[in-house]
Formats: sequence, structure tokens, C-alpha cells
Amino acid sequence: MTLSRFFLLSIVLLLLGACASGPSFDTRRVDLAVTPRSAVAEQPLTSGQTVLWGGVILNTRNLESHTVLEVLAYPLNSNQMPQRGRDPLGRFILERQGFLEPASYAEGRMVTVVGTLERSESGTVGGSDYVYPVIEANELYLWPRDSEQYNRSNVHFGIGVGIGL
Amino acid sequence: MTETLHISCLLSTLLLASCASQVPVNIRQAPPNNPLLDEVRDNAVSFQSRQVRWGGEILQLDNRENATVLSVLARPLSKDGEPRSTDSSQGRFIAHIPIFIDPKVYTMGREVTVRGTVAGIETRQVGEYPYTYVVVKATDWYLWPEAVQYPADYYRWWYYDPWIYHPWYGYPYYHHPHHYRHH
Repeated sequence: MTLSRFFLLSIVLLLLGACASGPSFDTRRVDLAVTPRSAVAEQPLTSGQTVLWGGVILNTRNLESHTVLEVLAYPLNSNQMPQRGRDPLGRFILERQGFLEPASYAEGRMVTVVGTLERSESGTVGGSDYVYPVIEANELYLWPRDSEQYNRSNVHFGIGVGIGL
Repeated sequence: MTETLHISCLLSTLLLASCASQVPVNIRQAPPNNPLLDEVRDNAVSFQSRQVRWGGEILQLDNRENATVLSVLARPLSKDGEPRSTDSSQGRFIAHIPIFIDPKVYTMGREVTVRGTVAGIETRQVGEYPYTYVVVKATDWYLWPEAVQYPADYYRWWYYDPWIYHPWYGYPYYHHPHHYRHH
């Protein structure tokens, strides 16, 4: 009885392990209601809030002592992965102390970040003015290149026909 | 009896020969105590002239007079020297190659493995960040074949039929990755 229960539990854990990949950031201190767009909706913005955001990298700049990423945010799924198929939540700027490799943190790659809201910064997108929320990244996760394929279809079922000889 | 032994010996030699890799032996085999890029960057002086085998993704290529300078984003290598597909990296290094390398062949993103000796360090800007590169004087190098994009139905059953000619599937019937070899 206990043995079969043990087996069942281990199988369930294995299955769960296969599905849930990602950073699994601790969200207890995070204000999940704040999006990049809502963060800059009221000025001056409330700095010091902890946010969990993610999205697609638009560009990467290496400065002398830190790295700056511009990210287009998307809603996150239960694995904290940005869902590119959904409506974007606006852009944000992420600052990280030290050097991040721009060939890895490249345009088009996805990141998920736990960060502290610092300030807003105005820039331009084409001819339009744009107000970006700026966060200091505390924890940063770069999604592997093919993670969307793995996460899209979690379970496959197949039908097989066999012949015994 | 001796005849069959002879033939089977000949056959197995032929088979073995067909397996022989195109990858140069100095690329396939790491030098003894191949140091990590991290350790060399931290203490380049003590690693001066040491043999290394490193590889990764090509970031940049400069053609100089009678030489080529490659900057490479290092990645962990498999046992036979091929860069593994992972994001984990120990950083960048520079390889000085003593001949002309065609920039249309060694394009950005292609995978390369280099064997040579540590020649020192060089600081170059990445954006505004002063990046410390380890410089390797390359003696051997190898450009790994590009991953071949197979058509979506490549693995369907008709591709495996060796007996029937399928003119409507066009040429080339099989796709061979191209190996670029150097010396």
C-alpha cells in the first residue's frame, strides 16, 4: 500500500517536473496587479514596488557598469513565461548591474524578471513620445530559445498499432 | 577459411575507414588540462602560451592583411569538441587565425572550435563596457556544419524507400550538410 502510493507520488512528481520549467520566482513580495502600462499611468510613479514582468527583448545596451534592456511586456502564464500570443502590456526598461552578454540577451529573446520600480524615463518610438517605467532587475531569467515549443503543447497522445510475430 | 578471414578483415577496414571523421584530430581531442576561459581571463599571465581548445558562436570577423581575427562567444564543448546548444557561456574570446578566412563562410552565429595557445588579453568595448578578451593564437580551427533545415515531411515513409524512384520529389533527394575544411 505505502509502496504503491510512493510510486504514484513519484510518477506524479515526474510528470509535474516535465511540464513546469522556468524560473519559479518567489512572488510573495510582488505586486502582480502592476503592469508596465499601469505603472506609468499616474505620474509621478510609485517607486519601490516589486514587480514580476516578462516579455520580448527589443534592444540591449551595454554601459560601463550596467546593462540596459528594453522589453515589450506580455502577460505571463503559470510558468512565469511571457505569452507572445496575447496582447502586449507596454514596454519597460530593465537595468542590471554588470555585463549581460548582448549575443545571449539578444533582440527577440524572452526574459522574465523580478525587479524594483525605480523611475520613469521618456524616450521616443519612431516619432512618438513614449514613457517607460524603469526597473532594477533583482532576479533575471533568460528563456531558452525553443522554450515556447516545449510549453505550448504539454501532453501528446498517440495511437499505435502493433503486430506480434 | 583463411580466405573468408581475409575478406572480413578487408570489409571491416573499409567500414572503419568510412567512419573516419573529417574533424581535425586537434579539434576532436582537447589538450591535456585544457584550462577554462574563466580561469585564463582572471590570470592570463600564468597561462601564457598554454594550449587551449575552445569553441562557440562567431560574433565578429575582421580580415586583416594575411590574417583573420575572430571574436567568439564561448560555449561548453561536447567531448569531440563541438559547441553544445546552451545559453551557458564563460564569455568571449578572440582567435587570431594566420590566414585569410572568408567572411561569407564564417558568418555570424556559425559554430567554430579553435585550438591554439594563449597569447594574452585585450580590452575592447562592447557598447560602452570595457570587455576583457583572452586572445588565442590559433593553430587549428574548424567550422562546424550548419544544422540542415529538412523539409517538414522529410521523415515520412516515402523518403525511406530506396527501391522506387520518386521524380516528383525533386532533387536533391538527400540533403548532405556541407563540411568546410581547412588544411
